[in-house]
Amino acid sequence: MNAVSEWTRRCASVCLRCSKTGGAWTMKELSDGIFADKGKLYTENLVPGIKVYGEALAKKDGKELREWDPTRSKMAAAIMKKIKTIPLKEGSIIFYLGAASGTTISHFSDIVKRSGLIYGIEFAERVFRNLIEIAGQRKNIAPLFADARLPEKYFWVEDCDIVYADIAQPDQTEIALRNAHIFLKKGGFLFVTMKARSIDVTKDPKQIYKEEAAKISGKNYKIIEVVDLEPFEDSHAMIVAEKGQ
Amino acid sequence: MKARSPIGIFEFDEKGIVRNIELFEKDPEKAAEYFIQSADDGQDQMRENFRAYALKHFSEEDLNAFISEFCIALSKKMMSGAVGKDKLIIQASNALEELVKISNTLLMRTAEWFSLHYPECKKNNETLAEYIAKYGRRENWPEFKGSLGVEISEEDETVLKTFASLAYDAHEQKKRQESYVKIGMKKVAPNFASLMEPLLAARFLAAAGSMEKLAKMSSSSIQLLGAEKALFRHLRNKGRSPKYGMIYVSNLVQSVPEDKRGKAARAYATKLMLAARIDYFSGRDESAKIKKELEDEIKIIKG
Ligand SMILES: C[S@@+](CC[C@H](N)C(=O)[O-])C[C@H]1O[C@@H](n2cnc3c(N)ncnc32)[C@H](O)[C@@H]1O
Repeated sequence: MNAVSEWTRRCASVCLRCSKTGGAWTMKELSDGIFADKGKLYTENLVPGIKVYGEALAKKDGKELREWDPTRSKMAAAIMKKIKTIPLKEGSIIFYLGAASGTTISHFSDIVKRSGLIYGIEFAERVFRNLIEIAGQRKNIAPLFADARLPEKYFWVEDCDIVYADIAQPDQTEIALRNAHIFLKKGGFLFVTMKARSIDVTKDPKQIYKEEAAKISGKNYKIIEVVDLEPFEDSHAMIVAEKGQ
Repeated sequence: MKARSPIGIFEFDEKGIVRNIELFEKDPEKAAEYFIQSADDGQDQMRENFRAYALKHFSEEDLNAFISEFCIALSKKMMSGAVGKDKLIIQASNALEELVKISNTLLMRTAEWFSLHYPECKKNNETLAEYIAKYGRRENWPEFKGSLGVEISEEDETVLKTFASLAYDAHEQKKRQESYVKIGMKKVAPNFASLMEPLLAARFLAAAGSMEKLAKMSSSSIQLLGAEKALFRHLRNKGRSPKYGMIYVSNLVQSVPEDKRGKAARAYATKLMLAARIDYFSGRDESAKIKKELEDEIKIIKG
């Protein structure tokens, strides 16, 4: 895969903290809690021995790492595609719309550790059960069974550093904005995944990303970047914006 | 002014400054319970202040673990409890079909048996069984005035009374189980069950085998649900190929003139398919909308 080899090159040059050499540890820490090795991404398992979605586990220097699959998680795909904004770190408070069964959230949970917290909104009961189970193991995921279109129902949730929306709805940008308006701290980051086909099948995806980004930038947000997720996800992109003061 | 939070109720003054926090118990289950019962004026300031204040009472890790458990408890209260319930409903619905047959047979047998002893009694079968179970021989009945029926011994009475109470219990259990299946069906499949009598909906579910299977069926398979017997007959070349299953006996299709029933059954099956998918994949109750759409379509078909 082309993106993967690009990725390997990038690791050799752009990694933020290429520490821990000299031992068996050849892995690079790309950003706080996100590791890369031989074209693969990893996070350090918060609950060693337990897998969340059948991902591979690796041992390095007494740490257990969980492989973060870019074909299963759009954030991993965005990192593979060289997203510049990775504000996730130990202690971050994240607001996550469309938590599903917790695939991506489990990696966020690894990164923010127990001093951080992820509020996960999901309205489909079947996947929510799974999320509850993972939350019970990790203690830094707060699952909320609610409709992201009705923020009044969880109005009491605290201010968050990051709002991440992945709900695959045609009006997802509007829903994400409504939530970010309430729950995102000033200067915080908004991530919105775009599935071009669920917005308009007839239009060119690039055109759609532009239009959706325009909806966001009009509203006290600055678009930082739009990352195309091909080839990991077909006609998908990730829009990143920063909330103004 | 008050605002609820997972750890307790924040009180604000007019300037939006925190005056007081009325803490919940440090038990997430109980906190969720109190939280639901408490009033809230929808204070925006709560969000900004929450963590700083909460950290006066919790360590960071304990606070996060507490919020996590609090949200789990709160969410469980908001869920309908529909997952996995489909298999229970199917068993109850199948058992109900047996129970209907059995309780009728038992009630009829009781009436026939007791009429030897008290032929003048004119109660319906259920009440009769209830009375026999309660009073036994005719002489104990409040309304008894005399009879031409046979005398019975104490031994005869005991056996008859026990049998009558068995028949009556079967009948009562049938009623309880009917309401259990109805309520359960509306939980498991609120959209699907809104389109027909819930007991019939449960039989559709039972014929499909599970909510997942029902949700993955095409509308033409749904149309044939319950026609399996006729289908096997046809496959053995002994009958006509069945066009419809249980759909055909529904009031909705029966209410349409005969020559238009095929069309009505197809439209109905399509809506049922949609409803089952919403029930299984999203769990949202959109029954009012779907019901309206179906009614409109049937109106058009009727012409
Ligand atoms: C593409 S999946 C999310 C996958 C997940 N983000 C991950 O990477 O692990 C979209 C999820 O959003 C949920 N969803 C869609 N609309 C929603 C809404 N209005 N409120 C809450 N959840 C919603 C769906 O039930 C589904 O589980």
